[in-house]
Amino acid sequence: MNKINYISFASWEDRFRKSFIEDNKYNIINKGYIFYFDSFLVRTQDNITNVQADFIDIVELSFDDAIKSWKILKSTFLNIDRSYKYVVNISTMPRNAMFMILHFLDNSNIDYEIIYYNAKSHGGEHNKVITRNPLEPKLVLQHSGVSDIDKKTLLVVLVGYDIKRVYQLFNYFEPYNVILGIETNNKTDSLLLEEEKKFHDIHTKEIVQINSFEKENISQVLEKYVTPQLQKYNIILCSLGPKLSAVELYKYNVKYPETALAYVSSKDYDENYSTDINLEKYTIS
Amino acid sequence: MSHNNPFIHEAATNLSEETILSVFIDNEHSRLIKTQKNIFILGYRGSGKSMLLKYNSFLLHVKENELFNNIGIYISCQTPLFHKKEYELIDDPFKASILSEHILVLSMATELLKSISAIQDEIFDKKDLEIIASEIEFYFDMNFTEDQCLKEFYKILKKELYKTQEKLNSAPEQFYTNAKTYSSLIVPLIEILKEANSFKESHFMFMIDDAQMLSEYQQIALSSWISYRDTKNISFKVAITSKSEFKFYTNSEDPILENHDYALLDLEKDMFNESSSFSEFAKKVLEKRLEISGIKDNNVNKYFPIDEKFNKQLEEIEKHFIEGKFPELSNKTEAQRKSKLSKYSRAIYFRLNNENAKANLPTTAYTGFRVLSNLSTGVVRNLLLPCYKMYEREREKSSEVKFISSKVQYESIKSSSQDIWDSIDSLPTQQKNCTEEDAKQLKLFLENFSLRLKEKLINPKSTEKQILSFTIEDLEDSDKQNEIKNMLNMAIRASLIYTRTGPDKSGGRTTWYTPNRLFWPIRGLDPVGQNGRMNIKSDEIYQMMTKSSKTYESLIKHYQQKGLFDE
Repeated sequence: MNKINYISFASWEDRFRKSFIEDNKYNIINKGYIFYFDSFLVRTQDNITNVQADFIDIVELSFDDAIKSWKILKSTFLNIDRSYKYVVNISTMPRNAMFMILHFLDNSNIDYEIIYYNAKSHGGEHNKVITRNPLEPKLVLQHSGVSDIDKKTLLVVLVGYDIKRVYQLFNYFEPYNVILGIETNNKTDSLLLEEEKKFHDIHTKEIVQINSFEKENISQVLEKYVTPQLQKYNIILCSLGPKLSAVELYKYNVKYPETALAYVSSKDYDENYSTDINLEKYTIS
Repeated sequence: MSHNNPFIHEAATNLSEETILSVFIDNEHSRLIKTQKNIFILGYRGSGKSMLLKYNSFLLHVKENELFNNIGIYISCQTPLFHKKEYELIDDPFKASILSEHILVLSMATELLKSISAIQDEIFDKKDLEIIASEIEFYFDMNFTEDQCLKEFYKILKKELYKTQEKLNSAPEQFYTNAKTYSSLIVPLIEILKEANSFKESHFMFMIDDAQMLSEYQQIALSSWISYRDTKNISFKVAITSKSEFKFYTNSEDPILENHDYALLDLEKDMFNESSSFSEFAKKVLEKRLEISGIKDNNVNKYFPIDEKFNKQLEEIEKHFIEGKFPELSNKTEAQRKSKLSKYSRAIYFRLNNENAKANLPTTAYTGFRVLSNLSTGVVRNLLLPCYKMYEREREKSSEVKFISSKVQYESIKSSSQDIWDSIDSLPTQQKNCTEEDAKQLKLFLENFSLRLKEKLINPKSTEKQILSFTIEDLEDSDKQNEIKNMLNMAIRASLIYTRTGPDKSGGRTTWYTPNRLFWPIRGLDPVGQNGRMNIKSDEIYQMMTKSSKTYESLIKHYQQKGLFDE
């Protein structure tokens, strides 16, 4: 068995606890860091208690205050254990936290790999409302790009279940042009066509098909459709779909730091947002 | 314009200068913009703030061969640059404010130099450029050739803006020692430009759009510059969506005051009748769009014709009304009824339709330019969007759209009316701090308000049948004011209710609330309104938010009997 250091993010979802058990089964965790958001402590407390151990640091981040979270992470990573390679379980990691954690891992020159477990089912698949009480879109600290005042804005959104979030981004950033990445995974042609129609009110757009679960698909799509636009636009990137797509956007932003990474948080999440866990995990090195 | 739909609505920042010049309808607001006053321009999203500022920017006016009395420099804050928050990582607020001001003044200076250098050969002679180059060297220690001085200085400042952003991204907590301020960059730059003959008498206006996107530090800095009130050379025209989203105080925490430090231009239009200023304005907007799209007959009344059948019914009603055959004003003289014709004819039509339990929705009444103009509730975007959709529907039938048929008009309006009611259910997923209970209360309030409107229509004795606005009596004294304000603010943020300041009962000023008129067609009500408002007590507002429509309907009857409706 491999000895590893471990990072995960506490959640009320089954996936958090079950993925931790799974990862613990096949690895020896030398040192672990479990982060959680203060606002969700009540919901996540039981799961946090289940994973507590001497070699695990439980670290509270602020949901409302990105600056505070950034400073906590900076302080955590200053003295982080470097004995072994890190395995970063992003399965239940909110995007804004994930971007910051990956930033500090990179900044600290720490070797890591990312793993992701999908849920057995998601509420959004059945048109359930997953989130409420959305906050304003925000740019990720230190990944907010380098803007050129002579360029207009191109908004790139990798779409998830919640179509309204796309319009929220569109109305907030008022881009000149939009590229929408729609997931093809398990969708028929007619379903895809139906989905495209939902964006009828965004007049200037290009729709591309993506598959977050196919290796290198997103990065290839970004290189094909977004990279040629770098000279022409200030580009804002946002993932609303599977977390794997958010990782790809992060990597793209690191490669092209003039682009800006954005996220949209919500204060309220459906407790039954996801159910159970699919133990077939995805790995990104 | 793209898509060949004459009514396409784009954010003004995404339009070319040629498009803005061709579609913009100028009015008295431009005259105010061109003064030396500091001005705050208040308006909802889609009200035309950006168009007004962009239209008055320097490059557009040079192309029209105007004199250089007013040099308007447009700066949009709706860019990723102003969404950056790395300055908040600096612990020392003073250092954070310096960095924030640095970014703002660099943006202002680069836009200024970009505008001027783009046409420098047209406005400066050799001597002017010699002077400018020499002054730049004196003030900024930068040596350029005369013909390239402005362009090179622009590139240097732009590079400085890049470097600042890169530094923010890589080491945000470190203080940026090369920071520029208003006094060290903007003021000397303007003085340099005024050395040139062409600009000796010029006034420079920095037109800052979507200023609510500025950081707190930047807003305070801007307020501080406005407080100087030395507007001989420089003034600020600042567009914001609402006063609550901007810091109207200086870095020494002194407030800046309306009419003292700045003038306020509120873009909300009054919406009353055909002769209102917005109706005229809306007519010009649509006819201009049709004209530049090459549509030969651009008369809006012909392009959006009133349904013929409805028109005939209306004529019949008007004839009978004048003859006194309806209960409305039957006790008045014929001459008196004639003078009130425009206020009563549509109202009677809607009353008759509402009284007929078997009648369908009065669809044909939702045709004609007058209805479109009223439905927009005074917001240009709300005027263009339905027209856009109607045009697309017609284009499905034929590639050449010579006019919009009445069927397409009322079907589009009905569908949009249903959509806006449905949108209330989505508010909890779209707005911060909006619960499902809040959305339910808002919907109840609007449903019950529609019952008030219906009561006015159906009751032949009621006057002022086309009032669609309300004021709230004693809101500040009400123990339910927080709940009421919460509901109203939520609706205002979502453009479901609009506000303006108008007269109150006692001769003072108060807030007038106008629900988006698009709510009324699907309820069988008339969106065509008139001047006036109903005054509703805060207790009743709360009842309307919390009582079911059935309960409220019986309450209306009770209030009527007791004469408790105060209008």
